[in-house]
Amino acid sequence: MRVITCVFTEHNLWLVLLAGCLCVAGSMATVRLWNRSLAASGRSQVDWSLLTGVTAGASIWATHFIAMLGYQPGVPVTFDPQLTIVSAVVAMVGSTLGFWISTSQRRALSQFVGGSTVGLSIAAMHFVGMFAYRTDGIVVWDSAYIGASIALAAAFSTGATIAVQSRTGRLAKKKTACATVLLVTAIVALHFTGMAAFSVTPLAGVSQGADSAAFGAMAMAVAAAAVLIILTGVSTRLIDDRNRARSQEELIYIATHDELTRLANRRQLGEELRQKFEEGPSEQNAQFGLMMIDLDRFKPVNDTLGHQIGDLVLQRVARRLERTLEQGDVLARFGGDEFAVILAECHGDQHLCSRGERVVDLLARPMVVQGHLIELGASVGVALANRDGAAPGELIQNADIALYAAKAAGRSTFALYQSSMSEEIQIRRSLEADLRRAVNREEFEIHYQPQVDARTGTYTGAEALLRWRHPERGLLSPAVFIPLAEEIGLIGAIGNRVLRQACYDAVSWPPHLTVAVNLSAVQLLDRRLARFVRNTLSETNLPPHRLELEITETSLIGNDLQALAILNEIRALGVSISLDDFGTGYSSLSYLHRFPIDKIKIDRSFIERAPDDVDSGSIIHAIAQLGASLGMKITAEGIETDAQWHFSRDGGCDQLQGYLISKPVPLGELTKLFEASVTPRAVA
Amino acid sequence: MHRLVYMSDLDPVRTPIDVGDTIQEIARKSAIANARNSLSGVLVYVNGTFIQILEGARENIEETFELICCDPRHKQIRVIEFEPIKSRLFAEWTMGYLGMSAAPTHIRENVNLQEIVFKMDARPMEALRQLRLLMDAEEFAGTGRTGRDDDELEHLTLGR
Repeated sequence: MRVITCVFTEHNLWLVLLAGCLCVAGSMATVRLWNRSLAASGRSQVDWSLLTGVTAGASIWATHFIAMLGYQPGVPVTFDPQLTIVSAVVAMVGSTLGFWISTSQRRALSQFVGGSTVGLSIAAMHFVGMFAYRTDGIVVWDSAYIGASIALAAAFSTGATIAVQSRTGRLAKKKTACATVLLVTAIVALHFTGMAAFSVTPLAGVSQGADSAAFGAMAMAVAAAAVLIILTGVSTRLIDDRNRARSQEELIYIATHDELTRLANRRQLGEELRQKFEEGPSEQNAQFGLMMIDLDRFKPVNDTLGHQIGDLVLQRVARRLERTLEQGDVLARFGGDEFAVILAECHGDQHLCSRGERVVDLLARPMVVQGHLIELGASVGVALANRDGAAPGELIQNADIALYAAKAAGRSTFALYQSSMSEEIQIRRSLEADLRRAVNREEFEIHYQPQVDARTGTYTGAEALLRWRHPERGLLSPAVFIPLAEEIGLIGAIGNRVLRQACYDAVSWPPHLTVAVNLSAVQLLDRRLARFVRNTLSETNLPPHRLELEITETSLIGNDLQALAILNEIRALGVSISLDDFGTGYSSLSYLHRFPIDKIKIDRSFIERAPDDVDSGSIIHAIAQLGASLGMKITAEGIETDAQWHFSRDGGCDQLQGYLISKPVPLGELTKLFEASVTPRAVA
Repeated sequence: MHRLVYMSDLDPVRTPIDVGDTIQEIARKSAIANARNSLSGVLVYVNGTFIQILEGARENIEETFELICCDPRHKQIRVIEFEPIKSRLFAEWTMGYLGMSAAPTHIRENVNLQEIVFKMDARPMEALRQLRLLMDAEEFAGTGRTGRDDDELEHLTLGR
């Protein structure tokens, strides 16, 4: 056949071989880039199509050019430079367009139009290239072969497009190979059929064209350039692949790790627990454990020093916790200031205890961050897998309950889960919830216990005592709920309300009577206290000298300077300060001296034992004398018998309070008592 | 530049039996570490109580102190002082060491040392000055000062 004859007789077969290799290599690269274009979306689809088109165009053109260099028509030959370049551009632009169309979602459009465009641009490139091919001879074109060549190019290119797009069926598995083969066939078929359409007869006596050695050199140069372009295309694809793999890895890392501390996050912890449960016990038959860690004083640090320091502290905590880990453990940040550790192997409760202690101890040690000395402390709850929980959710819940117990036990300690805890925690948690509701629902009541002058027996005032009327449990005394209120931060709200109510009530009493209100340690350290007292006094119109605030010695310990400043502010308003429960606990005489105290209330334990117990009696005397010499009033609490009344009065006490005078009563009854204005007991 | 002074108690459970040697080893190791980041200071050990002083750039002190805090061999770490300073008190030692001496001639120095430990809580500045004087006193040569008498560690001192 003409085509085959043409190949073998009219071509330098080495250059044909070179062209062929280039064609195959280029097509392989093109198809890979083509795959990438189809997988891309949006704007990058255009970009990838362009890259594919340039690579394809370069390979096709180089193939053609080198093949032409290898064509030996027997006449001198030159190449028109401009048209040669135009043919290269046609190849690149045309195929880019074709590839881009092939990325369309509409199958008919992408496959037939796209494929044909690619094929047609190959053909266009070839024939423009042929126009660039100047021979000294008479050129004759066979239009049948021209038509055939174009048809073949379009057909095989369309076939390649269909192959590249296939998703299902036998074709899909080998789609890259098929597409490559089809594309190569398109190019080769076009070229040789196109060459078969071309014949030239020599003209005698015309100048020589370039010689074959020069052509050989040109061929190498073109091949080199084409290879470079192909390699660029391939390496772009490889770089892209590597980037995508890396960003995939990064995404996984981000999804499973906490950004600040670089520890595993809560979700990852859940996943690890699930795996641990599936694995079962270790070779030594040891179970694994879960430790929940909560920082004790993180919130104040965050509030006073700011979030930047707070973040640094969390990072420091994470690094410290890492020191406590053993082989196989997993440390995670559970959120906020909570951490969790999966203890890979636990050999009994003793081991669990030592692990818990290790963490508590390490986090109790001070740390210096950006020049700030920080003492945190941590509460730790520990639970053992399968004994304390058979699934991740249960184990976490019970370790959490143990953590709660540790906090309730005073913090900076650890606790092992015990099944009884669940119930206790439930009770405490429901009490907490009830307390919060009580604040909103006004379930609190104030009862008043009157105080009398020890000598005359006339009323001098009353102490306000808080009661909680719980819907199910009835009237609860402060001892039950005040500590809890302090812990959960409700004491401020409750205390303020009591103060306001007491002042309001006192205004309705005879004007010489005072009202005494208890302050908790937490309230005393609030810098806003003095301001609040001042506002309350002015709102209720209660003269300051009628208000007494009672504090206990324990609230002064360790917080001297702060408390002193606040008490001085309050004193400056005209309000008087009483020291309650005097004689118990950390009685320190220096407090009497340093703090602005107006009244001492002797603790009921001494009164109870007097006058029978001589020592108690002596103490009462001593306190009374001390108070008198310091200019302070003395109140005796817990007067229940006449003997106690007489003893206290004779011992030097100024005021008395107790069941003998009156139990704590609601406002209505108190007002009646005051109005009756009857001396409660005639003094003997 | 800052100075950090802290006191702590030896944890007998987690420290090996030959306490004296261990502590000198600690001082030696910290002298080497401190040379690298221009820290100076002194380690004092008396009857189960440590006092350690670190002087230098704030970040370096913080880094070193973190390691110290995490060391299980001592406990009850309490920071006495952490202040910015104009000049070092113990510039000649990357980590000097003072401990009680068994030698009978050193009774006065031993008493002095105990006094310093006692005072450090209430009057740190006074105690530090007293300590400095003690470090200078020649008669104390035998109690294992690192960085001065020890030839092989000569090059670790910050220059005198």
